[in-house]
Amino acid sequence: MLRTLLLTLSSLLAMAKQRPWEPLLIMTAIVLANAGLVTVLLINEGATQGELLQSKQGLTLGSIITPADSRARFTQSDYATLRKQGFTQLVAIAERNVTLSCNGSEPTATTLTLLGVDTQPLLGSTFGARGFEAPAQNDSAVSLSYLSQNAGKSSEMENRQTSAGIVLRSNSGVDFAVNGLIHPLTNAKLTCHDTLNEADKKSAPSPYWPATVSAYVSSFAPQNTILISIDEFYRGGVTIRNDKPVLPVNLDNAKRAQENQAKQHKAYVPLSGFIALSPLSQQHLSQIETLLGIPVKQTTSNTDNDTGSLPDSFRLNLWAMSGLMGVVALFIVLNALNLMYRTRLPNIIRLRQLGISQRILSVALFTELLVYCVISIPIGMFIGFQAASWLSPVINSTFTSLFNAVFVNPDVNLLFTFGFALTTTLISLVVFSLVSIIKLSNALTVAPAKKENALGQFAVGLISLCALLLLFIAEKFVSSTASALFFVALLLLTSCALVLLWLPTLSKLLTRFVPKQWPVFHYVIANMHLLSSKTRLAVCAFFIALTANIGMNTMTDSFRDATEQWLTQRLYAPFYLYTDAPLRRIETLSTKSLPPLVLTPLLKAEGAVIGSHAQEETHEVSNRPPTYVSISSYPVHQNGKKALVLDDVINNDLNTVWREFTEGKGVFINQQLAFALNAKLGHTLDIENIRLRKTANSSSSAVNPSSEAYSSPQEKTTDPTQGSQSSSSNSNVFAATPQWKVLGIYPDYGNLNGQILVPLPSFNRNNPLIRDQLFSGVMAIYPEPSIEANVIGDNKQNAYRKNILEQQLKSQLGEHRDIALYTRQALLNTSMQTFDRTFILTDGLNITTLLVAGVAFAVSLTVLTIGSAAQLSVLRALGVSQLKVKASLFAQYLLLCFISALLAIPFGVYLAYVFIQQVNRHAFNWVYPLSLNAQVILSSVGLSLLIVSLVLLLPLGKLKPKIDLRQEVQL
Amino acid sequence: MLTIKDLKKSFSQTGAPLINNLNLTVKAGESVSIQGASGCGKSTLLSLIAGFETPDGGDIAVNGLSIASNSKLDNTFKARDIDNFRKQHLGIVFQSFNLFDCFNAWDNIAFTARLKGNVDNDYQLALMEQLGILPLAQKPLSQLSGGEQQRCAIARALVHRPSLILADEPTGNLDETTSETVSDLLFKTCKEANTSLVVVTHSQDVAVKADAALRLHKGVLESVNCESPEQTLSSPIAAS
Repeated sequence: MLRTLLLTLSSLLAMAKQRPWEPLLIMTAIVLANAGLVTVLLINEGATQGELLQSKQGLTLGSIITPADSRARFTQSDYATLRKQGFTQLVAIAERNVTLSCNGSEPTATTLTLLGVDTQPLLGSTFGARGFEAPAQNDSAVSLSYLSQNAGKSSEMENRQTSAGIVLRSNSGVDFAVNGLIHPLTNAKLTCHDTLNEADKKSAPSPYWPATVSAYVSSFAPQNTILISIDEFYRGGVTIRNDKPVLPVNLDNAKRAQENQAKQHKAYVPLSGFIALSPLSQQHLSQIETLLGIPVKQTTSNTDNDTGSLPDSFRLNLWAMSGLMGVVALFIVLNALNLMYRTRLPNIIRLRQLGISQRILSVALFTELLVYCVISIPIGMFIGFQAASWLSPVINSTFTSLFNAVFVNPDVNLLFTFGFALTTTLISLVVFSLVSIIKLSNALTVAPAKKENALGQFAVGLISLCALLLLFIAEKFVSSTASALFFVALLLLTSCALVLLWLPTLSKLLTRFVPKQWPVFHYVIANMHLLSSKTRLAVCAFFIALTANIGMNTMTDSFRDATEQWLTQRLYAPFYLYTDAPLRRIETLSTKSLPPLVLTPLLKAEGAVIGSHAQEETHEVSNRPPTYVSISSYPVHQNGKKALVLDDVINNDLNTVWREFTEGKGVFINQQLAFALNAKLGHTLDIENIRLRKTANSSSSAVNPSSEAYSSPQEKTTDPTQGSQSSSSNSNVFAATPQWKVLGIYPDYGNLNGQILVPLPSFNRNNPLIRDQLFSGVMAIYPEPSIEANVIGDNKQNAYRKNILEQQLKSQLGEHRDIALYTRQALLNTSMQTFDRTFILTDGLNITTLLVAGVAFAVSLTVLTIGSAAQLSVLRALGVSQLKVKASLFAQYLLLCFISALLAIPFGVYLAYVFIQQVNRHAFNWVYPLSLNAQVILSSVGLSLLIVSLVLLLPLGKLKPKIDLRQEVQL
Repeated sequence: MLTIKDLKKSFSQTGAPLINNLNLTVKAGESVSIQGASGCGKSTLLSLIAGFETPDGGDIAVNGLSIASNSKLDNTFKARDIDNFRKQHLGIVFQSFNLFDCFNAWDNIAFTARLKGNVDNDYQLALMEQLGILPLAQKPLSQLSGGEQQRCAIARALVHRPSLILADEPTGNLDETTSETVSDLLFKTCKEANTSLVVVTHSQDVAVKADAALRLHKGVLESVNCESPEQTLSSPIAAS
């Protein structure tokens, strides 16, 4: 049996050798499909690993003990005392800022935290506990090297560890070299992306550190930090100026102090704090306070909300495109298989006639397919790896600038990836090619001849109507992201089926209208009708790719239009200031140096919506988990009103709603929140746990006095309604449990989270500390109404005023402050550029899919052409010139594409509608109006036809149908 | 009228002569059948006459228009001219019919007339009537038998009123009865259309229906009944 199988297989391979372009087409499709699959797999893996790394704080994951008084410092002596008393879970750290540049590039003046860590206890506890043995040497440098080598083993999400690492150099020159660790995300960020503040950061003050760090990439290091041995930290002669060391506890013991005088310098070396490798109880803290004689506090880093912001939209986009590419590739492979089997039919019949069983034949055909997969998949994987590596900088830039997330080069198991690709490809192929292979294996089985029953136009029309009706009904049942995506698949498949129904009918119809006086053209059209049944699968692949292309482009274009209009209206002020200066400092400007301009800060807080109900309903405790929202201030002046973009307002009466808003009687919520809560206009939102936004050290502080957590002890005495101008205490941001009526719902494109706009006066608070923490760092600057026209009306004047303003702001706020002043137009441009950048990758994949489909379509047709060489030879024999034959073939294929493209337009538009109204609605909780742009649609169609035309030129150019009197034209 | 003078053609690979100083003249309305062993060069001869291949020497002329020698010696007679020559003057009947499966019988037959630009529906109707395929005019090819398809092919070869018809094994794919009918129709219609006919065939029954039955042997034509070709035709045929 094995011998028969091998013989059959060798016969099949001999057939493949005879017509190599057929298996080549199959393998090309498998290569492309796998390249796409692996690329998407790697990009998603990189994004996931980046997200996980971002959420991981490495060394500082535990709690940190610092003096309660920010002016006080621990010393080395304190550290020794504590460890002697059994606090071996404490690890001394010292930190300061350093300004660094990437090696070999322009100085970017990136300021990172240099964290010196006592590595000795780490080796004994953390790594010992994880099953690693500490090295025999006690030398800290060696220990750190050991740390860096083993850090990878200690973390599941460890990034690729380079032996050489990244070399970081301070701007001040090189005095000595040390080893260090750097977090993968920090490493990724050091590729120096364009940020809004980059220009200003170049002039940032530079606390230099005269060393070169050979930094090993490890997630053990905290982000934005270079982790080094504490000995190396102090090796550069570091002293912290203006900080007097806190005296040791036992100062009264003069003798001991005298004995230690020689070591005083060392003992007084200040430490930033101690990392507690295991959390300390209150009793432990009291014990430490007694031992050291100073109050201490324990800060536990809260990583719950710090899981990064991996854009689901991005991932969804990629998977959708990858799925699309997979489907297209599958169609291509199946089409190629069908073509190959069609030409092999006579030989297969001969094999069957010679006694090869149906089973052996099927096994041999599957084995042949497996051979093609095994050859093609590694090539596809290689291309996929290359493509992912090539795309990495673009993705990284997009992630950093747009999503504030980080993309890392993923670490994947090659064998697993190969296995995954092979299994996926083979299963898909086996399942979908089963019919073709069984059909071929049954070559000798006599079946009753089927009557050719071509559907009439009426039947085709009726079936189409029913299919469309069912599709519209199915759309009503979409209620989640999964069902929305399922509906997209259903839409594509239904449209494909309809195309298969309509293509022969349309081409037949076309045949009737072509004048018979043009015999060659008539032949072209008539033959296209026949071709349409032979190239069904290729047409499907092309159709799906083009439909998706039109759908995606229309969706993106609609999104772009909506975003641009929305931004144009929302950016009401002529200037926007981005700064790290405290709010109180900026607010003094309006009264002192910049009187003609009015400053409106953007204040932000965070909170949780615990319920949403109609006003008349009794308040019931909801079982739904709280929805975390961002609470933003919105100005109540007329410019604010003009800039307000609302999808829906109560009674469609903007004036009344605006008045209520300014009086603090209600709020506006974004679409995302409205969809998430199913909140309607007039509903009341119950809010609780309003907190200040995260500060630099990731800690959050409650602004609500009733909450358990306080930002500082003095906040306890603050009157919740102090400073509020609103009429209702419950509408104030600082109320115990605010209840806000929904006055309007506004679009908020690009935001993945819920947001509430609250009138600016509701944020009023006399406490400057809280106001500073509420301040988002963004300030709208606009002229007072009297001079508004002069400022906004003239661009030149605008630019002139921007320069003056910028200078004034710098001089007032201090040169060391981060100040970025943008005109409205510049901000709009930047936003739209960011928008466009977001879709670069999608566009790339989109065009690639189209290219793949186009190439496959053209190659399929070329293979068919080779198959129909006899007919072409007859044409030549009857006196049709070579050029005319080529031109007619070209026209024929292009026409087939054109008809497919015409059918793809309505379905593409419908797909865009589904993307916007269903997929976006359920995946991201936002929708926007569908805008149809003929240019966008035509460019998709034009591009697809251009791709097919270009691809066809090569095989058609080489086509030379040889006239052979004995050649048979098979019917 | 077809005139072939001193035609030479060798195997391209070995250089061995396939056709050696072949001469033949066929006047309008006359028919010639050519027999011979497999591989003796019968189809090659037809290919040379149709301009599919170029001879190594000699001349082929149809209605005084020299194709073969001009194609080699005169650069003005290019591929386009040969295409045009086929379109205007030649009709071909293939062994395997070679009709277009995308057309019905009527459109298949009309194709050559449309190509030449001399569509004559009455003539086509008469031809189809004569060949007995008029009722099949609107039928797709898949519904036609082999004999019916070959009759369509004959009609296609005649409908544009060519000067010469080349038929390569026109009954090779047909059964005996059908073969008899089709060959009768072929010779009859050619005669009535005053068209010269050259038939390559293995069938003795078909061969004898021609005005001259010749055999291609060792690169030259000889009469089947050992008479000189001149004696078999009303007009002189040079065969050597």
